[in-house]
Amino acid sequence: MKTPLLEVMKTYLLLLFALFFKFTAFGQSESVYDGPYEFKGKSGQAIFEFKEGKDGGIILNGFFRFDRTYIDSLDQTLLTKFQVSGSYLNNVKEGSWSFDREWHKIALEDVIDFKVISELESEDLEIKANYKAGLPHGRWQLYEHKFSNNEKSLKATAEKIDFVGGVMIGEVSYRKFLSGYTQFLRGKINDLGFMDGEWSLVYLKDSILISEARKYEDGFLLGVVRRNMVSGHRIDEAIYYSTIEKLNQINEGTNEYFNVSEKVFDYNYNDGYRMETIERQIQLAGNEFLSKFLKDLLQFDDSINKDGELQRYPFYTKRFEFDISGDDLHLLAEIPVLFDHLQDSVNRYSEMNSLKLNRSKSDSLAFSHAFFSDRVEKLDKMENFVNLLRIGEVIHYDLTNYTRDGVDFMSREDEVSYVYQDDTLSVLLPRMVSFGDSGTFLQKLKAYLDEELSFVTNIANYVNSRLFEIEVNSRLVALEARIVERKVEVDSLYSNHLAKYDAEKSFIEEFAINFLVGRFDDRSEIYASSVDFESKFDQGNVMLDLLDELEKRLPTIAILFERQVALDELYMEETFNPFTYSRYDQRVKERLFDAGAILFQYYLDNFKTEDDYTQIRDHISTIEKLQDKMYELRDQERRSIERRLGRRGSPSKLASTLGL
Amino acid sequence: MVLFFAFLSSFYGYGQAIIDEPGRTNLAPTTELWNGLYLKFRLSDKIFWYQENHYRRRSSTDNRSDFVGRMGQIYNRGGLVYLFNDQFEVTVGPTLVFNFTPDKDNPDYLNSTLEPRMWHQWLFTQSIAGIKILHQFRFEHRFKRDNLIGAEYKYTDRYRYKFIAYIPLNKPKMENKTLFISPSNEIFFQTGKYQREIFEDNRVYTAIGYTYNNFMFFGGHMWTYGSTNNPGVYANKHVLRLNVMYTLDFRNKRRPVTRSLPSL
Amino acid sequence: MKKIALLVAFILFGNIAVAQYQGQFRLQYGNDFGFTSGLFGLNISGEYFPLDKLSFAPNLSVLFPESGKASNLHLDARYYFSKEKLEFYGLLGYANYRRRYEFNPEITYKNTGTINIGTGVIYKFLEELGLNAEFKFQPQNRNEFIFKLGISYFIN
Repeated sequence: MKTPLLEVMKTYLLLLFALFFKFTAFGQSESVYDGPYEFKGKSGQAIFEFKEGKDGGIILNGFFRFDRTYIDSLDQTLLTKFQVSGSYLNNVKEGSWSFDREWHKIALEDVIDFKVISELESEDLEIKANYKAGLPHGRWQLYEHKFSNNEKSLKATAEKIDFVGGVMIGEVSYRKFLSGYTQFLRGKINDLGFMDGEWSLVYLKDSILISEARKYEDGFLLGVVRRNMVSGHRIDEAIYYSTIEKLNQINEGTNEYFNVSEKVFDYNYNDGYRMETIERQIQLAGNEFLSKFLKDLLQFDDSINKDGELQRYPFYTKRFEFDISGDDLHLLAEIPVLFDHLQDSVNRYSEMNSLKLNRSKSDSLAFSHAFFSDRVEKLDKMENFVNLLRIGEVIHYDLTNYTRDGVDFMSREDEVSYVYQDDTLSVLLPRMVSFGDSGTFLQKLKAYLDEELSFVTNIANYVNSRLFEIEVNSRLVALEARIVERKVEVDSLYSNHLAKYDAEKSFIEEFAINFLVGRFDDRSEIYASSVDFESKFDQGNVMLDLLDELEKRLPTIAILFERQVALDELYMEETFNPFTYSRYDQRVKERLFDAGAILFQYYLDNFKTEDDYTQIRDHISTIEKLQDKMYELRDQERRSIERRLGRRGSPSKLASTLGL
Repeated sequence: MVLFFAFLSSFYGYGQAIIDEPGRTNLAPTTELWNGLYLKFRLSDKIFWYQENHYRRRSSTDNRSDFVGRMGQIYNRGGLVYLFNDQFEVTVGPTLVFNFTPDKDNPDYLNSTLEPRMWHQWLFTQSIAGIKILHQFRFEHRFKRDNLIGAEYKYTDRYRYKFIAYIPLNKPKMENKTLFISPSNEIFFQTGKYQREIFEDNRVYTAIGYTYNNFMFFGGHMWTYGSTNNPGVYANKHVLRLNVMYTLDFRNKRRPVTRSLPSL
Repeated sequence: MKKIALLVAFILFGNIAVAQYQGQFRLQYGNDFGFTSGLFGLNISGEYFPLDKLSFAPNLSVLFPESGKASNLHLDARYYFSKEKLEFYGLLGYANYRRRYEFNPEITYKNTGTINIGTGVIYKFLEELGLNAEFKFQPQNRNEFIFKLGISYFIN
């Protein structure tokens, strides 16, 4: 019960002690604490004896008393009281303990002669317990009272509950009184703590008062009968024939492959029955009542954890332990692994977005999507049993019982229905393995799972390839759409280009025809004739690259012509004719300029006939360099160049003369 | 050429004196061929060197229409030009003309005499709708003598006004590679101790030309009508003129030798 | 050519200064007048500086006698004591006078030589042009004293 807060409290208390209380002695001497304390999550005042432990911790030792009186802050008429008293021995409960909790609702009515007249409604719970070494040991009693209208009435009581070492032994009797009728349970627990003999329960379930009779034999439940208390009609009945049979065999010594388990189990008796069986269902209501009783009784004990759940049972049932044949032993490990693997795959595919999105593309895909969802459900049903294998509990399950009514996750008929184009269709999976085959259940389960896995794998592979195809197709479609879009863009870019000069206009027209029509069509043919996705995709990207290149280079090409015109102007000089007294522009360095113009035209012609779009850049840069050189040479006094240019040579000679 | 003969034949016969009016005798026309080279070098933004060199031949005495029968003159004119602006310039310089004998075989004549002149010119230009019009006022101070041995130098002042129009044919205005026609008319006046008549000469010149970079090719037919040494007698000539003009800009071409510190 | 001249300059004069007018060319036109003969003439000359401050200036004067022809060919060397804008020079040279008579029964042609001594000044009124005034004395034969006024064009 050591809450973190408690730990903090403890250190705080230590300080308090140092300040306000005197120690009589260190070590073994008893000290008394009197101050705030938290018990079972409620804060109040406690006085207890304690001693200091080795590490400075507090060891409760001696009497213990806890008081809590609390008036609800919101509703000032509610008063709760809680009192605990008992004793500890070395930090564990020992001896008699008493727990008393009261709720009071005080309704103020009047004050007469300075005396308060009020209406009181109370409830009170008293538990008298006995402990030894921290475990319930000895007689326990429970009383619940109600006080209303000046009358005290008994609400619930359990008078003679005997514990030995934390285990209830002997007669158990508990009564609960509710408006008009009594709920009770009565039973017997043998010396080893097993439910034994006749148990009777009367409880209210769904507004029906049910009378239940159970027959236990040394922890084994043999039969349950339930009747309507009022009408006397039998509601349901369950005889645990299998249990009886097995016990007989044990008694006769003819039991093979099973024996009584040495482990103890809680009051939910299960001889390998599935949850929906009568053998399980019939116990539920009664066990619920039983659990409420125990929770009431042991609410202040360690066997109830923080969440209010029983974590330690005061009495038990027994089960059988079954041998798993040697062949099947390895299946105990294999089946969970196989199951997990299946579950992973199935979960993945059922959640796969692309499958979900594309399921309407074809009948097979629709089926596949439905298949995986169906498998998820199916595997969920299987999960419980597989967990039993995982945790090893399956040895306590009589698989004959388990599979008595067939196994819902292993049917011969395995039908998956799906919707495709507004039609509901279904496919019957061709199962070979089913529950009815020979072999142990585990073997059959394994074979079933194997078959399941093969279905899943096949369908998963199909889905993968189909989805890939779809993705591929959609990527190709997107690529083609992009190519068409870009082509239109680039086409309009070229046709809308306003050329400033005729030479520019005619060149760009020819250039556009060469690349946008000629080369592009060549590429389109190659694209169309490629078969596999990779090469198609590559070709498509090449076409996009071609278009990008054309788009990028157009302004540069236009500027080349502008530069040429600028060069023309640069190589003109304004002269004054002294004979005619007129000023005009006259060509300067005519030979040099002509050489430059010849080269320019030569490079343009080369450019026009280019096949490879990646070379466009080079052509542009050649022309650019020529123009830069012409610009440079304009002001240079290189008479030698002019002289050499006089002898007209091939373009390459001209280029070398100019120093390109 | 055909036009010339047509023109010539419009006159009455050869070698006869024609009497149009009492007091005025018009001699029969003669022909000459003048070849000229005109140079104008730009020395600075405003200063030019102008130079003309002509090789002039005239028709023979007995064949007035052969253009080149006798040597006429070697004519050299030079001057420094100051260009105030595109519309006005002034030239000052010398002229040296070699006048050749009218009759080679005649020993009474010196083969050639020297005729020095100083001249100055005031030139105005204007542009009208792409046509260039020049008004050229030229003044000469001339020392001339006859080829006869012993003849004296006679000094005269000459006053000349020439109206020139340059009309471009293939371009909107006068610029490079322009084909043009150039009609002009120059009138000469002279004064001097020995001059009786002020009117000296009138020249009507229709030329066609072509500008090409630094060159200009210029040629055509000129008809002059002017007074002679004999008062009352007027001569006229048909002159075929062929000229080449050449211009160079020496600005930025001069590379002055670097001047540095005076030597120690 | 320039380099050799430089070398010569260095060797001959031991100058450490860089060449000044060396390598310069000039053209001149002028009119001269001989005081003794009374002849007026046109003069054209060219000038070249093989060395700094020292130039060689051949020039031709065409003279205008009353009859006949006359011309004077001068081969002058000039030494400049110069300033930038105003250049003074001293002149020493040789002249050849040619005279063709028109109707002199005895001589039709005369050809004499003489030494030139003179001085002159050039005023550079433009980067390219200078005004030139020169006095020249020809002691031999004709005893001529010539004054020339002209314009120089600096080619480089």
